[in-house]
Amino acid sequence: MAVTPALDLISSEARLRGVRRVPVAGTEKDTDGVFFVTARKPELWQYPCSECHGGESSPEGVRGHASIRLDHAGEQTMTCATCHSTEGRNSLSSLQGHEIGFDQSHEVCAQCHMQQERDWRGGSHGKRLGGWADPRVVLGCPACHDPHRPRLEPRWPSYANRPLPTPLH
Amino acid sequence: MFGFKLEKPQPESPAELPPASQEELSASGSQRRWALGTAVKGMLGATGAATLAGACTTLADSKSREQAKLEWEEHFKGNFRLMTKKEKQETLNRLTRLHRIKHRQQVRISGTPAPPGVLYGYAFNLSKCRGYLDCIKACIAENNQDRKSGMAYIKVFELEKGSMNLESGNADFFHKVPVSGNFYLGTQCFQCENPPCVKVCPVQATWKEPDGIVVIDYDWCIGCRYCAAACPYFARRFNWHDPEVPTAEINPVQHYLGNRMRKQGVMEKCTFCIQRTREGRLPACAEACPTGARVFGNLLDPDSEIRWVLANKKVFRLKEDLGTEPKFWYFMD
Repeated sequence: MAVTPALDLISSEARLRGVRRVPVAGTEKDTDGVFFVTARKPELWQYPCSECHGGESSPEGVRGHASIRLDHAGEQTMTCATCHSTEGRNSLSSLQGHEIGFDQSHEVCAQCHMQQERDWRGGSHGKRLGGWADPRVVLGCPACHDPHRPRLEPRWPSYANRPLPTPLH
Repeated sequence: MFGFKLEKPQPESPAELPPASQEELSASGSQRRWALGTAVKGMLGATGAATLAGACTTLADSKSREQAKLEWEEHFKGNFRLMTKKEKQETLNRLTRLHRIKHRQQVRISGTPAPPGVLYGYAFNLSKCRGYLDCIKACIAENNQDRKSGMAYIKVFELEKGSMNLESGNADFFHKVPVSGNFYLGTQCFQCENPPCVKVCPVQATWKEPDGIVVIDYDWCIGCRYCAAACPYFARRFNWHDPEVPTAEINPVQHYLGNRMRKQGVMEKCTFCIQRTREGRLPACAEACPTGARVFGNLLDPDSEIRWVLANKKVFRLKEDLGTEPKFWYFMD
């Protein structure tokens, strides 16, 4: 069923002002709709990486990133260079060494987490911004999952369902 | 009538109305309220003026007099569904003004109708919910729910993996979440396509809107609670006393059929945040959820997220055998 023209009057655009976003390339057959992912580069305070990494520094050197502790799938499986490009430092890298921009980081994650990426493209995984009306803007993977330490720790609920006080008489 | 608080002067009973009005009163039921209202308004304007002037010495200032007048007029309005556009605007203006007088706060009460081509649907991802309860917190703040009784439209049940019996679920948990081996299942009003609560209402104070939301006219509800008894999902909540919300916490963006202030003796429930969703926003619970477990959208839009979930996930609904056709699906990754 086609969406009636009147529906075009409802838009999430006004609530997405100031949200920097990039279109996601549609590669899956089951999603034709164009949608957007929030831009990642503005969130990276040390970007562009080439400011420091000009020359021959080792990808395993962690002095400049002391706060980062890599705990993702184990040391045997992943190192910094699994995701970060050692050639063009301003971008990420696929497992085969192709450069992938920070704004397209979901393409890096999707190499292993293909089921999650499919759900994210479809709409059952991830957070949507602005509202239910078009345009569809969703958070990228690293907005919720720390790529260096993706495990989510248990936390306290933000609400306590207090039982009603029982009257004494 | 609940919420009618004109203390002085006492309104004249119908028996004391002039003979002409008595004849009108015995006319058809639909005209009864109109006739009563007109007759009483007329009396207030003419013969009642002297009575009022005498009795009004106790009405301290013009504001309380205005409040009494507005509440008086509110008493004689019709069912929201039967109101003309003008009547709707008038009652919205009165309610906004009354709120201003009572709470010294400017609110925006809208009567936005259902947008064409929209049918709201909701999906809940059981694999994603971690029991954080951010949804309940946001819902209470958004919908101006009574703080005193701790009313909440949403319940989140903590269940053991492998079990599906909500009666053994714990909705009062307060410990670090998620607990390994447990899963979390949230319930609220499912906005049934075939809502039993609507069928049993003796005064048609609750109905299903064209966009699928089941709403309540709080000023038409008589508080009989038949609907609460009829709902197989325990989604309805009753105001046993006047709801208490600190003025600073009242959400001023309101809808007549949604989160405007309720009163003692009326029913209320989740409306998928009608004041938000009719503007294209997400319900407060879906917006607050940090896990993305809550998927909301337009069932008539084939490109919507909710349609993708229905097409690509194994979904189920609660008590499907009852034929209530809830527009709220559960699924797992």
